[in-house]
Amino acid sequence: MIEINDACKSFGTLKALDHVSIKIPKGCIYGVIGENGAGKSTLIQALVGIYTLDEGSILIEGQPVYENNEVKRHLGYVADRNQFFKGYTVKQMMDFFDLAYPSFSVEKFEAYNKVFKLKKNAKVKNLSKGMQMRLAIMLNIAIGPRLLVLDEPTSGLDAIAKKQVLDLIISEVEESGMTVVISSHHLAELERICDEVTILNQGKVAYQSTVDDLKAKVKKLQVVFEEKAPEDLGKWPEIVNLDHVGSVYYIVTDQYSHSFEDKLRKNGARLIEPIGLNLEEVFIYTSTVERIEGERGKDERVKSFNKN
Amino acid sequence: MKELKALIKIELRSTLLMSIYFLVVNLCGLAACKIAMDKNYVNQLRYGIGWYIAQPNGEYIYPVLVGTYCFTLGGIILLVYFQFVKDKSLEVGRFLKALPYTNRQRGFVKIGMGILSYTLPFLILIGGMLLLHGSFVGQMQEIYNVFMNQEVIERIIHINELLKMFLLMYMTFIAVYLFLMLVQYVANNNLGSIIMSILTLIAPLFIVLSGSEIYSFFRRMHRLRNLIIEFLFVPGYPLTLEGGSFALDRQNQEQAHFIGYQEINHYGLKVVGLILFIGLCLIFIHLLIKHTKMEDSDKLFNHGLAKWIFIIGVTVCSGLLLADMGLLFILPLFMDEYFVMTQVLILIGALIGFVIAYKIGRIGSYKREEK
Repeated sequence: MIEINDACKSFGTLKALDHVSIKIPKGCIYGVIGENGAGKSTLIQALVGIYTLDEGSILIEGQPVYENNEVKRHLGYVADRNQFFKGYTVKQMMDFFDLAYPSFSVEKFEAYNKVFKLKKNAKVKNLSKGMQMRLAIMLNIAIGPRLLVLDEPTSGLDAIAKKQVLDLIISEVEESGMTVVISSHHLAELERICDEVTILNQGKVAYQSTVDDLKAKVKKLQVVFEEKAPEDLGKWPEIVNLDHVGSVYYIVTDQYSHSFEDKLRKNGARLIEPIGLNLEEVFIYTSTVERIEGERGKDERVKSFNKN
Repeated sequence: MKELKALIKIELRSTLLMSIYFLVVNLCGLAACKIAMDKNYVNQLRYGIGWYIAQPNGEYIYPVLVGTYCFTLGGIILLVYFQFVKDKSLEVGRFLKALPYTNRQRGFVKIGMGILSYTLPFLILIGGMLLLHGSFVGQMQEIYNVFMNQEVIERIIHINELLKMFLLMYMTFIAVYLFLMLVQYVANNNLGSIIMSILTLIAPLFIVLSGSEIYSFFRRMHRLRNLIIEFLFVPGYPLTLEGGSFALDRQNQEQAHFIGYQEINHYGLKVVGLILFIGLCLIFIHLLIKHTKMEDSDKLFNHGLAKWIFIIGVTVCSGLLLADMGLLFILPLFMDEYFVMTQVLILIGALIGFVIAYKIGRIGSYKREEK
């Protein structure tokens, strides 16, 4: 179990993490989503003990991670950028991990390399970005970590390699029961593998739930009203986005339920047809509304709708 | 120890590289010493007492030691640079920080490997020098036996004197190395830290010398001034020697052969000073390592106190530097009495220095406020 309690981190006047609290169950694949600068990388680097928090705590199986070797020995970290000694070969990096992590398995690494096919005498600096990412993933999974943290693990990978990497992660979770925290911009991939997600926005937790719950809660509705749509429709707290083409209204809600449908019907909705959103669309709508509210206030968002 | 193998592996490359450098320097020193001794012995046989100089510590070994000492100090600066190249790279630094090692383990493995890199070649130098010294004294023993001041000569060339010099050199290496390491933990730029360390080591000496040029009352206090100068420049400890001479034979004053010799000044005080210096460096390194944060890596200074020490140091030194330049090149051309003008130059120099140092000291923290 990983507990991130009220985590705050600032860089000068910039608040990168603002009272972030997340609980990640053991054996879960957990996604962290957010725009650029939302605080994902800061959270991930605090989670692996690179950054220390200004306030709050991060506990992995009840122990703090910062400067704690015992916890770090069971923690794999795949960074978004090159994280090797440039002059080292693949073999030397493997030997280095073997020395640094007591649980590192050379046999496991060799087995993964049969899939990824990296030349062991190749220098790390001569590998492409995708190859370096594959190497980082193989090395960190071969540790047999209890927690694997991946920051943009599929960036730079081709479609086949992406599938191989994600399949490898899923099979390792099934086999060893390790917990995975993954941050990515490729939300389709997260949707495929994640059990739960947290959406970060300007350093704060915007949404937090299982992927299925989130998709069930955030829905796009196609609505046709008997006559005119209610004047104050845009001000309803359940609605995060509103658009209309002729008499057809497209309502995005983050509080979808039967009672919300009933509320629409009571206000003259003749036809209500839910359209499923994928994680990427959910993210776009939820982060957009947060930004609009943050910058202009909800009333202005409503006003701009009424003008339309 | 077993669990630190990976850290040792990280440091191994720079350690080996610099060990080879130190070994080459020391072997060259030994070779130079052997050549000088052989030449002296041949000259002694050929030309007699006129060529004799009875102080291998001073005339043969010492100049060679100064050479190896200076090259070793240069090597130590390079060593610290190489040791921190990886750590100061943001990406590799993050990778290192995520490894299952504490800052303290990483820092002290680095120090241990660094010290090892020049200790082993230095031990070879000591061994070689002792052998050469023994052989040379053996060759010259018959000559010493006929001198009236045999006991004095034997005391001067005694092996203890050589060992004392080696101990002082070695302690100075450690002191300088630890100081360079300390500044690496104070400031985040690798090359900048090294430049800062060198300037900081020179600064106290510069302040005293410059101050004594500007304020004549200080110049008049010879003994105190010399003592301060001798103790303020730590890398110069093995280099400041006191010379002396005595007559070799019974001839009258005009025809006597004199022998010059040199001894290390204030040996005991220097050793105590170095022990204190090393101890303080270790304490501060320990404290700084504990509080070094990866997130501060874009700031030049990790700690506010260090930033202000830097700013004050640059302010004082630039004030004195401008005054010195004025005294040397400008003021004598225009006036006879320039005390007041010197003070004005000190103020102008200090102001310029303050502005520059303040700007430099805010590197990194400035950027963050702008974000």
